[in-house]
Amino acid sequence: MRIEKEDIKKAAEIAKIHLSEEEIESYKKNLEDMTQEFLDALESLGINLDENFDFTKSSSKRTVLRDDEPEIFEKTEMIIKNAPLVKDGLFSVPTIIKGDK
Amino acid sequence: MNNKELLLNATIEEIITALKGGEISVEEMVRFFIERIKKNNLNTFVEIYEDEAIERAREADRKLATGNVHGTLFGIPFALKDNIAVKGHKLTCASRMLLDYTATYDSTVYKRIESEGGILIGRTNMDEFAMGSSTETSFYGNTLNPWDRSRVPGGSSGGSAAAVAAREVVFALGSDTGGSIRQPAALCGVTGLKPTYGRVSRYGLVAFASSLDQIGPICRSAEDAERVFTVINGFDERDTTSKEVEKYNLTDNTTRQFKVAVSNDLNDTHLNPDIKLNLLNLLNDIKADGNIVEEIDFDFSKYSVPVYQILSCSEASSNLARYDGIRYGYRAEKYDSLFDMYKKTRGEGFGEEVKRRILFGTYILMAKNSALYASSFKVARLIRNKLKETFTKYDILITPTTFNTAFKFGEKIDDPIQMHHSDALTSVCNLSGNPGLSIPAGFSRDGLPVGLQIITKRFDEKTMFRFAKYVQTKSDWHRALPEE
Amino acid sequence: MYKATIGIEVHAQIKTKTKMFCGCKVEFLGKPNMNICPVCMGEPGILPRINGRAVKLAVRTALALHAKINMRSIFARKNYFYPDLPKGYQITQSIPLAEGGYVEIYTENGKKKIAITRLHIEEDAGKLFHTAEGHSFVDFNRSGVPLMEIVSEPVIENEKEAVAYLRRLRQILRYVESSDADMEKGQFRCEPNISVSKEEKRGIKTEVKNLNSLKAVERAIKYEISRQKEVIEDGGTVIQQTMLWDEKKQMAIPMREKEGVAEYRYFKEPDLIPLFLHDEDIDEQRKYIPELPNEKFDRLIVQYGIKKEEAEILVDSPDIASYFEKSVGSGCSPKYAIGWITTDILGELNKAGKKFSHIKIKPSHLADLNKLIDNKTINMNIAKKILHSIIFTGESVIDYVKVNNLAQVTDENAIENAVKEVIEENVKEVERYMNGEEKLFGFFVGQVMKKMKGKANPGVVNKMLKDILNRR
Ligand SMILES: [Zn+2]
Repeated sequence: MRIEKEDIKKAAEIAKIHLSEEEIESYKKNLEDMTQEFLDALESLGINLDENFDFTKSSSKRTVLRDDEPEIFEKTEMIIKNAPLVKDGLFSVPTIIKGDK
Repeated sequence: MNNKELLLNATIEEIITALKGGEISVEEMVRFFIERIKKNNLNTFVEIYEDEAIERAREADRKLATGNVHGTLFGIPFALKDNIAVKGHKLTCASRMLLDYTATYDSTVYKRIESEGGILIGRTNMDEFAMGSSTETSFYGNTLNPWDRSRVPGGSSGGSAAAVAAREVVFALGSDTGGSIRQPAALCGVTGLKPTYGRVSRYGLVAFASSLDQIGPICRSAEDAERVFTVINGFDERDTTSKEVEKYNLTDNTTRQFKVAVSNDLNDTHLNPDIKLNLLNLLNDIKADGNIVEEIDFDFSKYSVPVYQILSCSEASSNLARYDGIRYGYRAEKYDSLFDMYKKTRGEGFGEEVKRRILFGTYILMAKNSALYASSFKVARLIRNKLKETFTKYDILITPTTFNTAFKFGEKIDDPIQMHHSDALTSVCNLSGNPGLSIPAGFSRDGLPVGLQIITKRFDEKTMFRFAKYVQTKSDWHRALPEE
Repeated sequence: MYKATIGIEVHAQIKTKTKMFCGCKVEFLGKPNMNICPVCMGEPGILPRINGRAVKLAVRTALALHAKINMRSIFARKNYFYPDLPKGYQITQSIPLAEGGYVEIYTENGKKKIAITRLHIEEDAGKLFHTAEGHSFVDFNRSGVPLMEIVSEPVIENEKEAVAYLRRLRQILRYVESSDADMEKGQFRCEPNISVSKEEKRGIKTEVKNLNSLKAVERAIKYEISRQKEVIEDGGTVIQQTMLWDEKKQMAIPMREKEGVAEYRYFKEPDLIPLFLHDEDIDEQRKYIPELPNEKFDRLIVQYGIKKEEAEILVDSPDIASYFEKSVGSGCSPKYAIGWITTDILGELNKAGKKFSHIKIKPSHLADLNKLIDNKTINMNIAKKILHSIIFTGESVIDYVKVNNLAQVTDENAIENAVKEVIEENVKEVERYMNGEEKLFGFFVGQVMKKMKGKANPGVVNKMLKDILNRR
């Protein structure tokens, strides 16, 4: 399956991963190979592509639900301590500026 | 048995008996294993909790002194793969992205083992975010295969498998998404179980592909694997994809006749002839005992890898979206804006293989390709049905665990497709949800371990362990130790 | 003729104690990042657990909207990056909890059913604060709060219908107690999409966000309809975009998009199995559905003969409606009761800035006042005075009349004397009246009432004034 370089760039944009030109080139090749292998597998197994295939049919018909009772997590400071940048208990992030699409 | 022999070869049950009998203290045992980790220097562990483990060992010894000994895993030193959460300890997935992340809660499996008396020795090395088959993608560098230091231990639970093989710990947990427990177990000559999907809670396991991930034990023997499995299995309200089936109990050891199907993968030209020879010999022994052994057509190893790739990468691309440099983990140092921060953080924080898979998964899930992800489940369904049908006629399905024995460092790392094909025989079980167990089945002519994969019906780990224990009686392979 | 087409997406906060997928409290009183845990912070290795109460309340709401409930609905991930979204995806539903249904509104042309497309459950994001210095800050207290997204079909034709729909929908949520639906607290967020077209085919739509009151919704839709008309009139084309309503400027401003093209990569949430419902779950919720706003509206009008606007006030506030019905039940006439409640009591509350729950006056007080008017002990003006005096005290009406000596004078002699005095004191006015300036009659009545301190029976005053003036 042929994949355009633009597709890779778009996927990288969506996945928010910075890639170098070489990386894009090498990933494009892998992606083409893997996708093709998959399509070949489907063909050999006689399976059609099906966007609407409902694969969620579960054998059990019972969904475990939680009671609406508070379970307080005491160590919120442990969570906050993991953050790279915090100010007054708030997680600090750069603001979106014009360059962002 | 002297103490060293005991610690190197005994089962968990035998060790606990020895502890109770006062033959050895828990502290001695813990020190013994920690010494071995340091001396072996295989880079199996990414962190050893020495002080904490010794503290816990002393506590256990005090209990021993008062005769207050409870727990299926009382005093037993174990390790966790670095993608299983323990509150207050680092949880890095061997990634630069999480080097500074400290888990804020306990995984369910850790809680269960701890309450049965297990003593945590440390975290083991792995492929970054469990993506790989050689432990070469770890940020912490390669783990060496104890049977041949120039070779990989397999992956992604390479640290866990090598640590158990080198007797640096009595057992370790790994995680298996496409073969990440069974493949390294085979390459290191130990026993590794991927339980039925839904048997073991995933709560606290850093997600790779949620539909496929399962935690399982890597042990010296089938008996030990079964024992650890009894502790970690069972419904968990924190993982609502775990199944409300009866909790697993230890089986009796009564052997009986088995109807064994052997997959025609055994005749695959890609199969290493040494592996084939070992398995054929073993099958002959089994047949000689009056078991039914029949070859069946089971072609799915030809298709499982691409299907597994589509499915696992898609889910991974979403599961790994949370690493954005805001709440925890790595954040790039320089950036101009929010989205620039995201891209640099993720570009620098993730390694090659992880980026490749995220990118692949993102591409697959894009609206115009959405049929690919959905259709991968069609194949999964097909495999599941085929296995279901197989198990109406047979108790056991046997395949080699891998097509090859442990390969050399660098041999496949630059060829992702080749590397991914290490999962061909194992990922079938992840796609179908069936359990799979890899047990030692001999050695190649160059002295590398060979693995046999046992597959049963979903939720039928009982038959699996009965059979594994029976096969173990045919040889001493599971007791073989690498040279030091 | 231009035709506007409007559909509305509503996000209503489900009234639960805890979040959708974890046990953190839904509470916004304390400090930021107080009600957080590994689950709603999207830490590595966590898994969601469905809040059963949220599901029940969503089912109840779906029943009240006459929607078809899916016995098997599917949670899905909507993937995108934003600092307030901890996991990099929002858990929402791909097969919604319910589909179809309607909300009935009253328009100038009578009743109209606004069709509902779907109702599904999802989780809220955190809160992002922007500062001027190039930093933003995130508070995750809101992260994971349960929401119902209720989507209408594009069948709304103008801002008045939109407001009527939203008001009715909000009432329904409050009636079934599935949401407090307070817009100011962000518990009821409306995002209308609006298009204008001359043809049958729908035009290009824009979506408006940041609407914090029904008034804002009304103005924004009106603004957007006329803006789009102008664009088309000038030969341009409307651009499909999201607009932000600016309350100060009273205009909608195009918003910069989060991502170039929305590519949400929806797929089934693999950490949750499908949500299965059973008949018992649904029947159980049916029990909690009270008389719904429309039924109440129709019944109040028929049963009490009150006006539509009056009925609307009662429907909007079930506590007032119940107060009204209790007053009537104690013997007050519906006409008096509705007037006293909607004009006098609500007027007084408005002035005092208080809530209906603050009043002490009981429904039986209204019935007492009505009785005193009927037996001519007091007149309407006195009744109103008493009413205003006892709203916040709840004093007995009878005692109040006694203590303040307010009983009406019907003694004809006393009234006759007062009438005569007024005629004598206002010779000029009497002359003008006799010359045909009849509107002065009211003036004489007023003067007599003044002399009688308001307590004279107005009927007797009228009769006596007429008799005496006519005799001249
Ligand atoms: Zn929480």
